[in-house]
This record gives sequence, structure tokens and C-alpha cells, in this order.
Amino acid sequence: MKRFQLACVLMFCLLPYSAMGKGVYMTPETFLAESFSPTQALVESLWLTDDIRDNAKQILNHAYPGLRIRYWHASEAGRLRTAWIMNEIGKTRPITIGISIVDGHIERVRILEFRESRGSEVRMDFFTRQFVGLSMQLPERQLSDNIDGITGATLSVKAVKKAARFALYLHGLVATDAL
Amino acid sequence: MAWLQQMPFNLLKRWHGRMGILAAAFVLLLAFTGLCLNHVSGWGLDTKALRSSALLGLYGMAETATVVSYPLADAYISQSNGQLFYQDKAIERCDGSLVGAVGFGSKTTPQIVVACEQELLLFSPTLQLIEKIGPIFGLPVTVQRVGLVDSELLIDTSRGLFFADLNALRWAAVEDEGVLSSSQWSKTTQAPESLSLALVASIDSENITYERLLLDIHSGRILGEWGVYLVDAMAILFMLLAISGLVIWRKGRKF
Repeated sequence: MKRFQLACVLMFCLLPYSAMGKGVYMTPETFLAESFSPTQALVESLWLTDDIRDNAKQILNHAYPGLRIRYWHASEAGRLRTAWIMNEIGKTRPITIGISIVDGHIERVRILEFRESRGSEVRMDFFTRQFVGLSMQLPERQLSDNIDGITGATLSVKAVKKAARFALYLHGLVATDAL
Repeated sequence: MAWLQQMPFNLLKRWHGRMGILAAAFVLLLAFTGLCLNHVSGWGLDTKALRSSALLGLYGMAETATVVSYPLADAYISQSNGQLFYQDKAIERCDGSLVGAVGFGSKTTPQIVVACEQELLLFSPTLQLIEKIGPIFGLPVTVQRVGLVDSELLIDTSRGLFFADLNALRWAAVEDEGVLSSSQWSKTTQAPESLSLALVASIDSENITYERLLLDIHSGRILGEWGVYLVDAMAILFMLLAISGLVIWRKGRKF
């Protein structure tokens, strides 16, 4: 009977340590340091004109909530690197996603903060590394390759894919302006 | 499951009983939530919003009861449950409690700033969000109040007083506190009762429903990743109970 009681106590002791999916996984400062080190990034703003907002709506399936978006950039050996931090809703709460892009190709995708109770698997490396090297396929503005989904995290996967497409689109605008 | 058949009869019965006690609470919980889920529409559980602060806390949402309001011209900016409202119209969510709202800028480019503890929300005069400005853009936090000194935006934070230029993202520490004598701080006020009631009603429609809560309890997801494993463990326990019950029944018939 003692072994049974011990098993019960151990099982219930596990409950307070349940790994809730929500949480801050990386600070924006860490993400920017990882993306730009050792160079210093400059912060710039991009006003979203009606055209850009229309295209944003097509990519995100909803209007972008803002008239201006800030981004970080640096140029090194003629290569433009930009970083974007955006919130995109998975099911009900926003996921904060950091995306850095070099010359139109995604360099890294990081989940900075996840606020929902399910779908947090999108933060894992096996998922985010699928985005590395992808670019924007025109004219559909789709990612240049397929991203494998995660069972039970469909909406979070969709949110990260939309954010990646939007960041690539915005990078394209910034790069065109920079020419 | 040959090992179950080889177990001494009394030992098998004893473990079957222990597993039954352990599983009893979960059987009742799963049966109850399953029963409710079968009738969510009929019983209105798919539209009824959660109001318990303890349960909402599991979803990272605070209590819905408090409505904080700040006057802005002839209207009110209010916050409840993290949601911001202009009058009774939901506008945005913001990080932290609402601490003020002011209109500022020149006559040609007027803007509105709504200040929450962890971020400032910049709006156009037509209440279109321009952007959210948080600590990542250098905003000193925690913001405690917001005001104006000669049309210049002043924020009082836990790190001191700062003049804020939200377009250039510049935060200039106030060295001469004499400016405080001419500062006009945004002050909280009681919104009209009709507005407060309208806000509570609109918040209800956006909240988490009982159906979502039941689904999350039934699947174990209410406790996160480990909750799912716990329900998995219970499912295995139920299988063992069924099998050991059958073995006991068969062995019992031989006596």
C-alpha cells in the first residue's frame, strides 16, 4: 500500500511543474543581437500606404493593425539585412514572431512570445528551421517551399507562415526603396 | 498481457482495486465533461462566457469586472481585461494597465497617445492605430502616468520623468522638475454608468466560452503539455483496469 501511496504523491507532485506552452522564449533584444551581431542595427519606420495595406490584407487574411511599422536594418558588403518583430494571432492570442531576412531570403525565424494554451510547438527548432533560405514566390506572394505542419498546432503554424510571408513582402519594399 | 494472468489472484485483485481508486476521480471528471460536451449547444455552453477570475487566470486573462476610464476630449478611453475601448467601441489590446490618454502634436498633425504600463499606443485623430511603442523601442517602463507640458508629451515612469518624441523614438530625461508645475496629467475618472454596462456586455461576447473550458479539461490541455500526458496515463490506466477486471472475472469463475 505504501508503494501505491508514493506513486500517487509523485504523480500529483508533477502537476505544478506542467510545462504550459505560453511564455517568453526570447527577448526582442536577444533576437536582434543574434540577427545583427557584431554590426549595429538601425531602426527605421515604414508607412503603410493603401497599396501596402491591401497587399498586407491579402497576405495576412486580415487588415494589419497599424499605419506604420518599425524594422531594423543593416547593410554589410552590399547585402541588406532586415529584422521584423510582429504579432500574429494563432487562435485567440497574438504570437510574437521575430524574422530576419538577408537579400530576400529568410535567415531565421524565432518565436519570442507565445500566449495561447496550445500550439506552442511552433517555437521549436525543427519547425522554425524549415523557413531558413525561403524567399517570396511571385506573383502569388507565397513562400518558395512548403512548410510541414504540426498536428494540433495548425493555427499557430498558419500564423507563423503568414508572418514570414508578410516580412518577406515588407523586406522587398524596403530593398526596392534602398536601391 | 500474460503477466496479468500469471499474477496471484489476491495480488491482482488488490492492484485492480488500487487502480480503480486512482481512476475513479478521473472517470467522473471525464464522464461529466464528456456529457456536457455532448450538449454544449443545447445548454448554451458554446456561447456562455467564463466570468470566474480564477478560471480566466488559467488562460492568462484577468478578471472582467474592473473598467478603468480616462477622459479624452468629450469621450472616454477605457480598458477592461486588457481590451481598450473608445466609448463602447473596442479599439486595441494593450500590455499592462491603462494609465492615461492625451491628444498632442501640432494642429496639422494631431495625434492621440493611449498609455499603458508597458507600451504606448499612438493613434491618428480618427482613432486609427499608427503603432504600438514598447520597451524594444526604448520606452522607459513601467509607465505610471502621461501628460502634456506645452503640447509636449511627458511620461512619468518608474525610471523617472521623460519627454517623449514618439515619431523619432527619443526619450529625454527631465532634468528640471520645475516643468511639473505646468504639466497637465491625464487623470482617471468614472465613466457614465451606461457606458460601463455597455463595456461589460461587449467584453462578455469576446470571452472564453465554457465549451472551450470543457474541451481543455477533457483533453487535459488546461494543464498544458503535461496535462495531455496525464490524460494519456489515465487512458492507459483505464485499459489496464478493463483487462485486469476481465482476468479477475475469468479466474474467479474457476474457483
